Amino acid sequence: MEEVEMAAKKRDEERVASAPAYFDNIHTKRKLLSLINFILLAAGSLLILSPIWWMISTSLKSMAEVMTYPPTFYPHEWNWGNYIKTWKAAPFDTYAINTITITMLVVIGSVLVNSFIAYGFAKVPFKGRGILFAIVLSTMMIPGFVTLIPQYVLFSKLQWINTYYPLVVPAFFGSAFFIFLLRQFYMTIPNELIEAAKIEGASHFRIWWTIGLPLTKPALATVAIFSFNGAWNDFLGPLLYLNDENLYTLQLGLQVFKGEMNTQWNYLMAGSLLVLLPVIILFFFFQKYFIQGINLQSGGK
Amino acid sequence: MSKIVLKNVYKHFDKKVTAVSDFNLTVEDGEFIVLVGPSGCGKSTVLRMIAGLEEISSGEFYIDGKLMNDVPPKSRDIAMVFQNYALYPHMTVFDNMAFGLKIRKFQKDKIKKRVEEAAELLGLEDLLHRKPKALSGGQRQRVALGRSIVRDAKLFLMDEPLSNLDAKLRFQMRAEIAKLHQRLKTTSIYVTHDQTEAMTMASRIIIMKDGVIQQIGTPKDVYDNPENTFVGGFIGSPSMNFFDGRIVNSQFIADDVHINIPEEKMAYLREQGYAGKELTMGIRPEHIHLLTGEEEAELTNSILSKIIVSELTGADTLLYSMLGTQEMIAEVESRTNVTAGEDVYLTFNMDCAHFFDKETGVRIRPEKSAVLVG
Amino acid sequence: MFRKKLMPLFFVLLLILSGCAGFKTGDSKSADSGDKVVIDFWSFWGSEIRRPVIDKIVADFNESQDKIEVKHTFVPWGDIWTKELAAIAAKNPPDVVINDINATALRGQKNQAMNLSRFLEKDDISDRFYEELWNATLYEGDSYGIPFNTDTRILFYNKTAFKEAGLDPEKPPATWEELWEYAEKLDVKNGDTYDRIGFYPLWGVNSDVWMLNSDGKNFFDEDGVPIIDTEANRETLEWVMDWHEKYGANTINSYKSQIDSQQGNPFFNGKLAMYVNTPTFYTQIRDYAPDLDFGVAMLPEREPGSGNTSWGGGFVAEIPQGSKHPEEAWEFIKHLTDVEAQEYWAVKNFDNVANIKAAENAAKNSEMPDKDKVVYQMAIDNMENTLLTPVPVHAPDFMNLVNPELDSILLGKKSIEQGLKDAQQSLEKLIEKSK
Ligand SMILES: Nc1ncnc2c1ncn2[C@@H]1O[C@H](COP(=O)(O)OP(=O)(O)OP(=O)(O)O)[C@@H](O)[C@H]1O
Ligand SMILES: [Mg+2]
Repeated sequence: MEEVEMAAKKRDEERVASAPAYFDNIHTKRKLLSLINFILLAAGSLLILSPIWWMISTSLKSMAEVMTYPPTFYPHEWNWGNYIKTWKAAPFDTYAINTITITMLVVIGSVLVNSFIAYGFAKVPFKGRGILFAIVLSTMMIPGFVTLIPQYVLFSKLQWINTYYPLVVPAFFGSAFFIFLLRQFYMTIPNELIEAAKIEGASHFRIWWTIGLPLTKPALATVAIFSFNGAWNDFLGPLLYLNDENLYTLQLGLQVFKGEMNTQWNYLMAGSLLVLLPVIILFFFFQKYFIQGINLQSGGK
Repeated sequence: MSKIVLKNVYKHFDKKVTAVSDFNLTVEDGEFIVLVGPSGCGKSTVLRMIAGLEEISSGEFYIDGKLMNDVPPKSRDIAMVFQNYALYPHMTVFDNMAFGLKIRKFQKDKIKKRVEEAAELLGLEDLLHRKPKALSGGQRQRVALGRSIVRDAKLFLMDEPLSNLDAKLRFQMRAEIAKLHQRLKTTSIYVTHDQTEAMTMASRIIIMKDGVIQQIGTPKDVYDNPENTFVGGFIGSPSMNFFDGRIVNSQFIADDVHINIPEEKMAYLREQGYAGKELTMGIRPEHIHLLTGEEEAELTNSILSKIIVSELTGADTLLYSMLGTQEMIAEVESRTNVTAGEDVYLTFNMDCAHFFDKETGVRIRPEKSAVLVG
Repeated sequence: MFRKKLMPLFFVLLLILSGCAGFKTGDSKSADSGDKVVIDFWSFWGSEIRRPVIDKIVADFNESQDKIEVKHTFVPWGDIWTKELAAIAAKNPPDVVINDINATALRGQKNQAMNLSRFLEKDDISDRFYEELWNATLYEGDSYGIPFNTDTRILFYNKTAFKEAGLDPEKPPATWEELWEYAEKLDVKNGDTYDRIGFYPLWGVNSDVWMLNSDGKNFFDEDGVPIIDTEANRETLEWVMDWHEKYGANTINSYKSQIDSQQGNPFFNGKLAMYVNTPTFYTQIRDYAPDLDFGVAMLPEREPGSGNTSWGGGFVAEIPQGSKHPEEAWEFIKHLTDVEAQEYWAVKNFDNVANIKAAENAAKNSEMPDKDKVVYQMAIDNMENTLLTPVPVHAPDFMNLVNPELDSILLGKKSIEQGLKDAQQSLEKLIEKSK
């Protein structure tokens, strides 16, 4: 009898004791899970960021350290001066201004012109629209190198070699990919919106400007970023068309660090990072727009 | 203030589809015209041709005597309300309403004044700075209305403006639109497939089917004197009853049911050669009455029917039964406690019955336009 | 709204642009410098070291006379020739371009470079240069480019390591057999890994260099007939495979990625005892491992008497087809390849030059430190052993057919016999087709 009581008591005690342990268990389990999650995510980010770290680390090393074997993970000597030396190794001020000029114009051109053309293809019915659109799209299939030389010859005949026109003017004639992208976006805008504006007396240009542009902002942000990226990182265009070193862009300037035998890796990395910076900033800035978007149906049902 | 005329207007899509055929209409200044018809019958197409959003394939369209076929929408001075409102989602209510005025280069203070006036009229004063996203359906509808009235256009077009609203709101807005029209007296064309809207709002109704006008007339006119079986069936709820039968000896015989036809009707039916022929009789449910006493049944033109369903709608009760093999609905006073399965005597008020040609569905009229009144 | 706010913005933009240099059209070169003929000179020498040297050579030329003005433009390495091709196609090329010597004949055949015979008839400067270099510029007997600089492949070895391994630091390996023996002695194994590797033939050069070294024969004979499937080449690849097995794929690959990326080299800190590269590799040792005690030697012979054949390349100065001022360009090229400019280039850049006299002068130049002189002299001496492999005009892309075969041999996917046989056959087919 006593034994039974004892046993019962013991069981009770155990239950009492095990209750917090049980909760603890859930707690630690959760903690552990989030820890594992964290570690996995961190590892993933590190993996993705490792090339960037590699660039940073190399950019701060001396050339002698870059050349040591096995490579050092972080610089033993932090040569912050590399950045200044890099910037001074070539007229990078000029290159930066040149690049900004070209890029701005290309972005403005791409955003406005492609949007305008896309509006036309999406919202203005006209004879042969489908065929024309197919032709525009088909230009996407032509590989770039096929048109390279003819295009160069054309610009040469226009006396545009060694000017920014070949780099900027094409942006004002639209690009098939952007047109396609924006047209898809315009298709989601109800026709009634356009028709309502038409009845209220707006011209197509006006409708595009006051309704089309604001409603396609997310797509325009995408176009802006893509075209910014394209112009900013364009290497072949400036290479082919610019003969005067005063007109060179950052991407061309970076090439002074690459030689037929030796490459000045520390300067090249420092320079590449400096050139990359605006692109990264821009991405952070526009990230919002990508996610946000505008609910086009909000004015309707 | 304006008068519009459509003459032999056709619309073809892709050379194959004929959405509208031979559309003729004259709208007097200040009229409220309602276009009804089943889905796909071409109502929107007519409206869009008037607005200039759709080209007129052939025929002529005039506003105040001026040919408008090739005039772009912005120069037609028309306002239009769309089914899904088509508000500009990125603009505030104020900007939505001011848009057309800005385009027409009105002065700022004038724009403000007009928008505020319209907002007051529609009870939108407190919503002017909201975006459409933050409005209810009814509010959006009002903004859409407001947007079209600020401009003071010559012609008002509305394409099923209430179809996205719930029944109660629809009822309320219907009244508001009617009120608005009484105040502004702007010539209006209103599209709906809801015949109640048509009946309550219109000064004249146009009933369309398959791109062809079936009848034009005042609500009362089309209700009482439907031009054909389609109009008879389309206008009125519950629908008119139609029975196929034959005329023998001044009696309409459907299956084995015999109904006497009044002599005045029989006169012109006979005159037009329908005696002994197959035709269709139409009679509205409210013209079928319930008889109570058996003696009464002996006396009058009555039939014994078994009620299949009895449906109380409020003021009335609908009785579903069969006339021979054909369905029949009677609308009777709600106080009569007839239940399903019961056998009752029903009588037809034959003065209010219509006869239609069986082949064409066209109503057979007295030749010398002796108008029937129900 | 549009007209009010945006239009002025556009005008301002236009105004800014019209003031911007990048938007002035027209011929950029005829603008300045009076009666002087301006010629455009493109090179890829833009680095801190190269740029001042070439700019000085150009400046010297510009000062030396008053008829011609050379405008030097840096165009990025590698891409310079894309740009040149586009400019030639548009009939608006520069006047002098530095280009790859091995493809000079091909460019002659394709009518991209100008035939220089008419200048050479008056001014025969061909004897300035190493014969092997000069011959590489010829297509059907005419020269299409004047050699500027060159390179070769020599053996660098770590003297300290030699001493540690009991080898005579003044007696580098003379044959492949010795190379192997030395390497065995130089290897320092630590468990599964190596603290020092004696030698591995495919770091720094490819197997084709060793096939060239084995019998002094290229993949094509003088008549353009493919001769890749030879006894010597088979033996070479067997020898290469022996090395491969000796160190194992893991070790080889982990070093190779570093060496290929040109970031870090185990030779600098003694982890690799012997290494084949160009003489200019010396400048890296000088700059990044100044304390390294090393020696240089010619490539060893396959067997005594088979020859120390090495492989070289280089660059020429050419006049693109369509140049508006070929006479003036020629004058500049003469200056560029003459003793003075070449010696200056050689000393300042520690680079092998094409001009024999200039190379020899440079090796004795007082500006060169002793260590530099030793390496430079070795480079000059090695020129006798150095063969170029000009691109055959009928099969310019033949390496695209050969490389996959060599790769499958090295990866063990094909036997050496089979791989070489297949390579030989596909080359024969290629030649057959293009004729
Ligand atoms: N753009 C078009 N292309 C081809 N056919 C069309 C086009 N627009 C309308 N139609 C056709 O024309 C006919 C009439 O269409 P409409 O939109 O005028 O009908 P509706 O009476 O307004 O119908 P609902 O009540 O459903 O709005 C339909 O058969 C429709 O399919
Ligand atoms: Mg419709």
